[in-house]
Amino acid sequence: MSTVVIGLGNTTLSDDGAGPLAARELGRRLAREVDAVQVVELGIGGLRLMETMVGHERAIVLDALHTGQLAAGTVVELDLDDLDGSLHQCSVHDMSLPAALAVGQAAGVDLPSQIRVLGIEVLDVTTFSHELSPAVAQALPELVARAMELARTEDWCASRTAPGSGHTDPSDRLADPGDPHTDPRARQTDLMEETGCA
Amino acid sequence: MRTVTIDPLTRLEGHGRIEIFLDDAGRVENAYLQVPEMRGFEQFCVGRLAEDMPALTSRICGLCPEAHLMASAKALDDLFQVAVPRTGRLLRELLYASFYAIDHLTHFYALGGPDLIVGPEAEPAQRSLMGVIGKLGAETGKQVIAFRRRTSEVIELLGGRGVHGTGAVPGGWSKRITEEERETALAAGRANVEFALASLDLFEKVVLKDPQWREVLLGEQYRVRTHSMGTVNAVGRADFFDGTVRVVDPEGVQVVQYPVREYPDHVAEHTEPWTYMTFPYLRERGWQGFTEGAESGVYTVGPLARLNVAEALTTPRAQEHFARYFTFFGAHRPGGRHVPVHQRLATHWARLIEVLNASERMVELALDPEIISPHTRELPSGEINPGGGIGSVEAPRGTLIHHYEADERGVLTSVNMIVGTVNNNAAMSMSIGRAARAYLDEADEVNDGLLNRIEMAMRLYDPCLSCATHSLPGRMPLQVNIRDAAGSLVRELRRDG
Repeated sequence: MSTVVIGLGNTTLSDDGAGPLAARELGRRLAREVDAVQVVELGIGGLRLMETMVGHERAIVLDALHTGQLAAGTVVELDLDDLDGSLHQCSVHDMSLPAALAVGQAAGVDLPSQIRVLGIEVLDVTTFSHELSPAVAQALPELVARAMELARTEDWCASRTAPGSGHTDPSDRLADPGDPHTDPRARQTDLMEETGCA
Repeated sequence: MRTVTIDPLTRLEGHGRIEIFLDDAGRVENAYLQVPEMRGFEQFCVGRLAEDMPALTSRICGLCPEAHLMASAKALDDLFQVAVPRTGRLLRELLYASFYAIDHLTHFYALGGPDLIVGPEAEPAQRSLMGVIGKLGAETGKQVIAFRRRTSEVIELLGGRGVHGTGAVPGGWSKRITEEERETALAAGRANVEFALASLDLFEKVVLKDPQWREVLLGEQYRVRTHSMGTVNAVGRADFFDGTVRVVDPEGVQVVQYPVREYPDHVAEHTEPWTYMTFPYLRERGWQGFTEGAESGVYTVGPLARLNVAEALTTPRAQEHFARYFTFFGAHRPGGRHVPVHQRLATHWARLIEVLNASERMVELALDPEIISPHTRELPSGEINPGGGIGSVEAPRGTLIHHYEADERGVLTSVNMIVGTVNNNAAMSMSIGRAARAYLDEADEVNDGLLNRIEMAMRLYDPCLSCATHSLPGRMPLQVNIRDAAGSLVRELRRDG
């Protein structure tokens, strides 16, 4: 199964580089054990992100997350239909990742059937530096481990949430049962269809 | 005083906010673009080796790394006092023309064009490439994606990597290309020429032949009369890759033409307390405020300005459209430079003409037999230019200058960059003000469509605020605050980004 791991961000802007740095580390480790994984560092989302996924069956996106609600270094898996705070999934120059995927679909390109987005809550993405904040640096191995786990797992559909996740349990959220916009179970069904896990 | 805030802008790189100030009578008094900025990139670079700058500066922005890569490479040629062999220059320009074509084309179909094709009052979600596909059919989407893919392939084969390309070294290019790769670039260029022509036909159909758009295009809503700045070659033709910088006044009279090394003699930067972004202006005129006309120091860069300063374009098909463009505006002046066009919405048209120009250049460059020569670079002697290194290109958004000073070991002691978007800073604010006066003053209520018409005044410049301010990219919902004379919030509009 061909998988692409995409680290999003800017390695010259402190914590903004968390995605590419994690991807780089992942690439080093995976090179020894998994053949069908390609690792890419990317500075922009939107159309370009979608295009980077073309030709792969699965995609794992690693991005800096800036919600302001989570402790720095917290690693979470994001829903494709709720990427709030994901700093680079969208290129404000063209469109968001979901919009780009829709364009790709309309254009008939060969997109992955399954996509997962892992975010790491960051502190500082406005200072020019190659260094991560201590909290983010400390949590980077967790991001790498979570991505490794996904890359190694043959069947994502069997476990929607990767081990160690305490933040993506949809039952935590208040919702109107049955409403696809607010009911996380309904949304999850949609997502499963989108990501080929229906 | 009532304040209308559009915050942040949708569909623009980086984070920005439009502030529109109304007087007591509720009419638009002023409009400004505000950008939260991080400074410090220049300081981040000081102490590093000069030859690291192409790789480093091309990471400033995910959007136009190739523009920084080229300006940086040229600044290094100057700093290390080394002349680039012809093949090195051809390879650099081929990469640059490819990037130029892809960047401009994407802007038209994903950002600027949807307002024209789908309509400025359409739902925000429809003012997008998906909306364009909905209106014109899936084939258009396929064509846009195919354009991007084949052109990215050329960038990749030249630069080694897609997004942050490498290859730029002082004295030329580090990698030669094979005959097979040359064929790939040629095929991509030819296909791009066809799609650029089709896109210009589309523009003619949806804009030029539409009475409402014609009226807007020729009207005052988006008209701002400033100086124009752009790069021209030795015979006065617009050249986005190399040449000298020419400035003409609003009537088209040349103010100055200079090699980029002399830019500090002609451009100065004004600051305002409410923004970190500076306002470059012409020293020849001085800073006279946000005013139009030949006495003002305000100038514009980018597609509109590049056509305004040029006598002609470098390629035949693009030249035909260049002539048609100036004829449409009644600005055709035989035997010399045309009368400048100041209708800012025409920037979208000028941008498509530049897509054609860049695509034709891809073909010309790929057909040059010397492009596959192994002589791609000269090695620098090691002598550092005591006058520093200065390089420039026309970035899609306008003239981009990199200026480095280094000690005798090649360690950087100072770095200055003037990017396209910053050059347009004053003109952008003035355009927003013009559109706000045209649309807001006449409006009974402030709705999304109306605000979009104001935002269009800014979007047409394709500003890259990330690059201009070194700010973080990201996308948030659009928030509009309307405040009464006392500053209290009387209405809040939100829409998802």
